[in-house]
Formats: sequence, structure tokens, C-alpha cells
Amino acid sequence: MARHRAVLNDATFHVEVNEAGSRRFQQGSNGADGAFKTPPDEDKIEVLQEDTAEEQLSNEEGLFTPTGNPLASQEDQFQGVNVSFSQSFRRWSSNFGRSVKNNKRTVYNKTIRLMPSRIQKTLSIDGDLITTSASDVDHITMELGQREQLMEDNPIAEQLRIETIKSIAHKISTKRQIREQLSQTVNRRATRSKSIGLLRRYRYSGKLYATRAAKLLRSFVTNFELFYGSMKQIEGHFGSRISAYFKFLRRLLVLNLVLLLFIGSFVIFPQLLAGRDPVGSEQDITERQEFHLRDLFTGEGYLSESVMYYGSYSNRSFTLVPGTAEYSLPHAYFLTITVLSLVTFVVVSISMGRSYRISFIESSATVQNILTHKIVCSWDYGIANEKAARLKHTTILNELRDYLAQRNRDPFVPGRWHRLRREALRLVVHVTVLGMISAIAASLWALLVRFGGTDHFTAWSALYVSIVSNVTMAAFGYACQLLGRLEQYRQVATRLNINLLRLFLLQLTIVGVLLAYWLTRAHAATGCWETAIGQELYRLLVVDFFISTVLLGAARGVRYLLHVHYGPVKGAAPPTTLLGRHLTPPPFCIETHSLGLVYNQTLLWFGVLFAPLLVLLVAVKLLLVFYINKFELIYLCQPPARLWRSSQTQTLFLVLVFVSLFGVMLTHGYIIMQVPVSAGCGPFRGTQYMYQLFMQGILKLREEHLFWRVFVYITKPAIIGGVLLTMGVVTYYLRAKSRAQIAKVKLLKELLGMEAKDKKFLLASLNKVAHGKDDQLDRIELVGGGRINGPADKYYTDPCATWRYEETPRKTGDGGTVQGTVVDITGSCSSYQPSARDELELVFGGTLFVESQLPARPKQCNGECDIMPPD
Amino acid sequence: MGQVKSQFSEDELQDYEDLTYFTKKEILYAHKKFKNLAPEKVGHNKNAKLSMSKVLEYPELKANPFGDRICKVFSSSNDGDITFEDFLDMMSVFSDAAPKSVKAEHAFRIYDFDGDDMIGRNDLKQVIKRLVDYNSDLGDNDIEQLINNILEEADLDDDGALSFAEFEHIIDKSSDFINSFRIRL
Repeated sequence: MARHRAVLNDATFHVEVNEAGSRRFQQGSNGADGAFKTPPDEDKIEVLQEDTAEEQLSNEEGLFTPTGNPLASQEDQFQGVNVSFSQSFRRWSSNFGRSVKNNKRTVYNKTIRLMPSRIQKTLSIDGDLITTSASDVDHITMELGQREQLMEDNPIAEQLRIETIKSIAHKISTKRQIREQLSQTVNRRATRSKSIGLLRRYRYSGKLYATRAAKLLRSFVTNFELFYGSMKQIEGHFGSRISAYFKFLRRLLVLNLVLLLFIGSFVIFPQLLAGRDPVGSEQDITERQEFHLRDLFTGEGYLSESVMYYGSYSNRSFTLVPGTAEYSLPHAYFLTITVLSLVTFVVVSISMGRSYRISFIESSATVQNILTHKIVCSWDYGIANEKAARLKHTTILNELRDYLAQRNRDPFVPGRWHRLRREALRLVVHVTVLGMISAIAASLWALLVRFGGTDHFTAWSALYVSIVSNVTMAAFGYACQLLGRLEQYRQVATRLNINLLRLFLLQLTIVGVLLAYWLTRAHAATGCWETAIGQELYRLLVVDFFISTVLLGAARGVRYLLHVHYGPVKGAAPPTTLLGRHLTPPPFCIETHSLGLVYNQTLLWFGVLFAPLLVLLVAVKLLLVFYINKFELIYLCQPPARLWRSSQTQTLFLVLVFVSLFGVMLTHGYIIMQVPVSAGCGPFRGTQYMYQLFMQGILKLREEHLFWRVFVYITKPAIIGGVLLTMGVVTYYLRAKSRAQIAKVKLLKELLGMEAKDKKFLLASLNKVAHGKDDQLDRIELVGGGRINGPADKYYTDPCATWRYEETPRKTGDGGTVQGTVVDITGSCSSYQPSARDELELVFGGTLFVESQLPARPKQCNGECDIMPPD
Repeated sequence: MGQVKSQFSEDELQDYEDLTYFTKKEILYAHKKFKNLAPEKVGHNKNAKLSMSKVLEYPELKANPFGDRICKVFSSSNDGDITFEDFLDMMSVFSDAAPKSVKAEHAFRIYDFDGDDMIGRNDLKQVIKRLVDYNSDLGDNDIEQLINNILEEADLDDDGALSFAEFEHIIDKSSDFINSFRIRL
């Protein structure tokens, strides 16, 4: 009996899941399992049909393919459905088997239906409420016991079992019981089956060690989570949206600490051990300079000959530990920095991709559910502070008011002139901003020619360029904000993003101009241009810290003091003077701060080739910035009252980081391959280009060597062109394919929409028939019985009216269009059906887009399963 | 920490580690937090049952308009009283490591005030009222309109309430839910 009940649960649940559609594929399996083992009856088949509908679509003949006039014969149609259904079910179940084999993760994803709200109150087919809370444990144990993967007696299955039990949303005591029962069953079964072979055990132990290592690593990471207390404090005060900025900061800090670890141990430390080059090299002509405090700001003087910069690294190989092989510093320098940059690049790209997928692709449907989101996801559970909670209440209230106001207002349709004016205004602003950026670039160039040309600076004059560029950047930010107000973007987010992109463009321009100047400047024969670039970057970073963090922070502090002493008093009438109104506590703009971090990181990545110790500088800087910002936020600033989609903005920042890192990689590549190194300093002196060290020293390639010839051959333009062309073709092919998939998805969505509309219409008519023409009710034969005790019952009273309705010809356009679409779709899909699902997953980053977009089948339609064709 | 550690054996910790999304260190830390709520009682019996009003002194729950609902959902005696295991369970669900599906399930139960396994009009009304704070001036008409709009958006099967599947559908599409439905231990 218990078994039978489980099947019923499966069926009921299954129907529900179909409506939402997401993760249907995995969850659906349970229903299938159950139905497969019990004698099939009308109920389950119909339920399963929902599941397989999509499979059929991708196959040649399906449920939706009309065979002649679909309304012609009731009987035929029902039979047709069943036949094609049983075929597709077989297809589906075999597919499922494969997918389980490929993806063990699905197993515990499926356990969602074992959650209490699914099980405790499940409707039986007779409409009774089955309460199974007492037998919850047995029930779940039994369900889990049917999964072969979970029940094997090996460490992997045990791990999987633990994961599965974890994901069951029950009380801990229940979970414990389930686990005990399961392990009993496993032990019982294990004694019967023979023990596993040596080879398999060996394989398992490898995997087991891997999981254990991961677990250890996790506990290690949680033990050393940076700023744990601070993060909790910030989250408690301001919620997760603000703490996202601090998380971003922390992430960069951790990244830089890792870089520092490697660079320090492979490059800086050996250099310190080896000491300075013996007398005779060229820097030693000048005496070793005294240390001035000023040098910390300018990066000149004492620092210019320290391990801070490229120029003072040795090109020798030396023995670090007596009796071991020689340590070649140039190779270490080159390899450490290139490998670290490449690894960082890969890490950043992967995290960007993931973040993009999560916040843009998988959530693309949120647009439709704006209000529901505002309700369901708006409370920040991390808030632990009364003031923050009040602020949150107010924010939500305002959001809802805005929403209502927007709904109730007549949609504003701008006239042609209005639109034209708006567009023109935007164009003007865009052009102005671009003009400003180019003007800034030109004046920066002039400044560089005036002040940057001299190789020896007098005291503080070295700082001019960096001060000017940083001040320009800060001023430009405010100018952009003012201009942005003119543009009247309806969405705040749009305005914000455009503003951010402009600032980012300016930063790129400034860095680009500096680079272009440094690289094109004629290099003095004796000078060390690498060190010079390193010094410039050092100054930029230091000055940026003083301007954007210390100076602007101080400005905010002053504003706060003014607010406290002269600002509007709480509860009093709002001040009338202009000054009084502006004496609010300063806002904390997360976007500008995050952009500053991106800029910072770009400079660092660029400079690490020329000044390895910059990593330390930036790490210290980030640490200071963290504490200063935290202080400002908690004591001085007012948190932004606006709700903004933090994950999407975070993704945008990751994209910016990626773009700048990509630019840095390209520039580094250019420098390594094309720019001759200084002859008199640095680890690479003695070679003409940096890469030669790699080619000749590490790969031991000489001109006449076979590999060298192969290399030269490969790098010929024709070959590279060919490779590029092939890549272009492949990209084009993939792009075309993805376009086709997008079109297909659109069609499918339309189809589903039509279908839903059709059903709605049918149900409405059915309802009309039921309530209007009672005299015909005698033809209705109720087979299944009532099922839902909700408002849906009003539709359900006479399920069989469906066939009755179909006797009358359809008059509305609805039906006609649906049929048309159906033909269309099956036709157009047939050309690329074989791996449609895989490609869909490719295109949409693993999300089953079609499924999750499903407009639900109205629940009442499941009533059809109870309808028997009339005899 | 040493004092706290003495309250748990290694086996118990392993047991909790297997059943929640926490590491052993975090479990001990959670217990410390739990103990802070009622040092006397918990010091005496590590799995003591604390009354709902006591548990609601936990800062995150105190600030949360759904604090009492959370207690009720996680309470093993279903009356809002919380033992350490319940507390651990709660913190595990709210932790970073818990997957979306588990969080969604609990969120659904928190918002399902009357426990009929559907988020109906009354539940929505409660949720909105709690979200905007009771003494706000959002009128009943406005709330009605909001509820109508929510149902229009999210009630896919037109039965006048959100089922779990519909709720999960919304959550699935939200990238912010997992960030907001979280309490740092």
C-alpha cells in the first residue's frame, strides 16, 4: 500500500512541477520510475505525456503533428496520443538513463520532491488528503533506496548519500533516522553482494582522497576568511548589496596576496638573497642614495634602486643553497610573471562567465516577474540592525508605491518631437563626453611632453602627471553625473551603467595615453625605461590612494560634520535654503568605488612586469581602503536608499576587470615580443627582446634546431592567417547555430503561449457550457472524480465537456493559428533535431531555457486525464 | 572555544557535519552563538530548548519581519521553540553553502502563513504588510492591487494562489534571492 501511495505522490507532484517547468527533466524521472513499475493506467500516462512533449518536439513525429483534421475523430485522436506517447516515453526513459549515468549530480537535485511540503499533504486521486508525516522517514528511505547509485556499498555512493540527505529539507533528527535506515539497508545488501575488486577500490580511494582534500580546504578557507567580523558587521548594517562591494574588494585583495606569495618567493626573495650585482654594472656609477620620506610618494631616489623595480634585478644565475643546481633569476622572473598573468586571466574569465550566466542568462525571465520579485526577494535576511531594518522597510514601501504609481498612471507615449528632442539631447551628451575625453587625452599628452620628458625629476615635480590625471578622473566623474541627469533615462540602471562605461572609457584612455607615451619615447641608451614605467605606475597608484580615498574621504567627513552642525534637524521642517538642503550626510557611491578598484587593479597588472613589488603596495593599499571605507560607511555616509540588482552590477564589474586584463595581456605581449629591452639593466639584459630568453634559454632552441624551424614555419603569416580564417569560420558556424537555436526557442515559446491561450479559451467555454446549458450535462461522464478542493473546482465540475466542445467547429482565430504554428514548428525544427538539447544547453549556458519559460499548462487541464472518450 | 568543545564529542560533530552544510568549526561557532542567547540554560544542557521570544533576540531574527515565522518553520515542536539542532538547521539553511532549492523550500514555508501549502491571498497580504511595516500608510486598496498584480504575474494556473512550483519558478529566475536569503553565522 505504501508503495502505491508513493506512486500517487509522484503523479501529483509531477503535475505540479510541470507547471513551473524548471528542472523538470531531472525531477520528472521519479514519476517515471514509479509509473514504470506499476501497471500503467490512464492517470500516469497522461501525466507522463507532459514530460515527453518536449522530447517529441525535437523528434520527427510528435503529439503536435496534426494528422489530418485534428477535430475529425475523437477516438482516433486519443489513440494516436497514446501510441505516440508510449513511443516517446520509451525514448525518454532511455534518455534519462543516459543522463543519470553521465551526471550523478542529478540524483540529489531530484530530492526536492521529498521535501516536507510535498509529502506531508499530498492529495490522493480521490481528493483525500493523505498525511504521511508519521511515515516520512520510511517513505523517504524507500524512495532513496530505489536509487542504485546511492545504495552501493562504496565510498563514492556514501558521499553521494550524505549529499542527498543534506539536501532534504527536514529536521536534523529526521535526517539522522533516514541516514541510519539507509546505511542499514546498504549493509544488508552489501553482505549479499561480493566485495569490490582491488582495481575499483583503488579508483574509489583516489576520488575519496580528492573529496577529503576539498573538505579540508574548505574548512581551512572558512577558518581564515578575511575580515569575517567586518563583513558581518557591514552586512548587518547595510545588507548584502553593500557588502557586495566589500566582497569585491576582498576578492581582489586575496588575489593580490596570492600573487605576492608567488612573486615574493620566486623573484624577490632570491634577488634579496643574491644581493646586488658586483661592481661594474652601470647603476653603481651613481652612489647609493639616501632614503627620504619623499621617495615613498615619488618612487624615486632610494626606491629606484631597490627590488621594487625591474632595473635592479640581476641577470645572473646563482646557487641559493650550496650543493644544488643554479637558480636563474631571469627565467624565474619571466616565468613567474607570465604564468601568473595567464592564470589570473583564466580565473577572471571563468568567474566572469559564471557570474554572467547566473545573473543574466538564468534570470532572464525576471523581467516578467518584477513585482513578485520585489515581494519575495526583497527582504535581506542578513540585516541585523534596527536602523537598517527601518531603512529597508521604507525602501520597500517606496518601491511598491513607485510600482503602483507606475501602474496607475496612463502610459506616457512621447510624441515625435519629444522623442526627437530627447534623442538629440542624448546624442549631444554623448558627443560632449567623447569630446571631453579626447580633450583630456590631448592635454595629458601635452603635459607628458612638457614634464614627462626629462629623465631626472626635481624633487616633487615627478608627481605632476599622476596628480593631474587622477584629479581629472575625479572631476570627470562629477561632470558625467551632471550630464547624465540631462539625458532623462527612464531606468536608473541604464543611467548608472552608461555613467560607469564613460568613466571606464576615460580610465582606459588615460592609461592608454600614458602607455603610448612611454613606449614611443626614445629610450636613452643608458637609461632603464622599464624602471621609469614602473615608477610612473607607482606614483599613479600612490596618488590615486591619496586623492580618491584619503582626500575624498576627508571631504565626506567635512560634509558630515557640516551636516551634524548645520544640517536639517530630524523632525523639524525641511530647510528652505539651498545650502540647507544640500547639507545631507554624504552618499556612499558603490559604483564609483568599485570602478576605482578596477582601475587600481589594471595599473597593478600592467606594472607587475616592471615593478614586481607593486603587488605588495597594492595589497597594503587595498587593506587600508577596506578599513577607511568601512569607517566612512558606518560613521559618516548614508547608505544608498535605492534597491539595485547587486549581482548584475557585480557582473558588470567583472566584465570591466576582464576587459582591462585582456588589454594588459595584449600590451604585455607586444612589449615582450616587439620592444627591445634596455641594454644596461634588468634581468633580461643581454638579449634583445624578452621572449628570446624564453625561446633560447628555456626551450633551448637554437637557429638550426628542428623545433626552431618548426616554430619559424608556424609563425609565418600564411599559417597564422589560415588558422585565423578557420577560427573565423568555426565561430561563424557556431554563431549561425546559436541564432537558429534562438529562433527555435522563440518559436517554441510562441507555441506554448498559443497553447496556453487555447486552453484558457477552451476552459472558459467549458465553464460556460457547464453553467449555461445544464440540460446537456447528462452526456457528461465523470470518470476520475473531483480532485482539487480549491477555486479550480469551478472548472473541474465537468471535465468531459472538453470533447463536447470539440464537436462544434472552432470559430475563433485562436485555434487556427495554433494549428498553423504547430505545422510550422515541427517543420522548421526537423532540420536540426538530433542534438537539440545539447545545443540548447550550450547556447544558454546550461539552462534549459525552453522549459523554464513554459507558461504553465492550466492545472485544470490535467483533468483531461480522467476523461474517457464517449462510447 | 575549548570550553565549548567539551560539550560535543567528535562523533557528534561528525554527525552534525554530515547532516548540515557546516564544517566542524562552524558548528562549534554556531553553538557559541546559540549559547550566547541563554548562557545559563545552554551551558547546563547543550541541546536545551529555548522559547521563541528568547531566540528572537538573535540580532538577524530580531530585525527580520518574518522572525517568528522562521522560528515556527524550523522548530521541531512546531510551536516556535528552538533547540540547538533546530538552530543549527536554521543556520545551515541560511548559510552560503546551502543550495537554492533548499532555501526556496524554506522560504516558501516561511511565507506560507496558514500552512495550506499554497501562498494564497491572505498569505501575500501578510507578507506585504510585514515587509512595509505594519504602521505604514499603504492602504488596503493598494495592497489588494499589489496582490492582484502578483497573482497576475506569477500565478500561472489561475487558481488564485502560488503553489510551490510557481514559487520555485520565480526563485529559480532570481539571481538576487540567494544573496538576500542568507544569514552570516
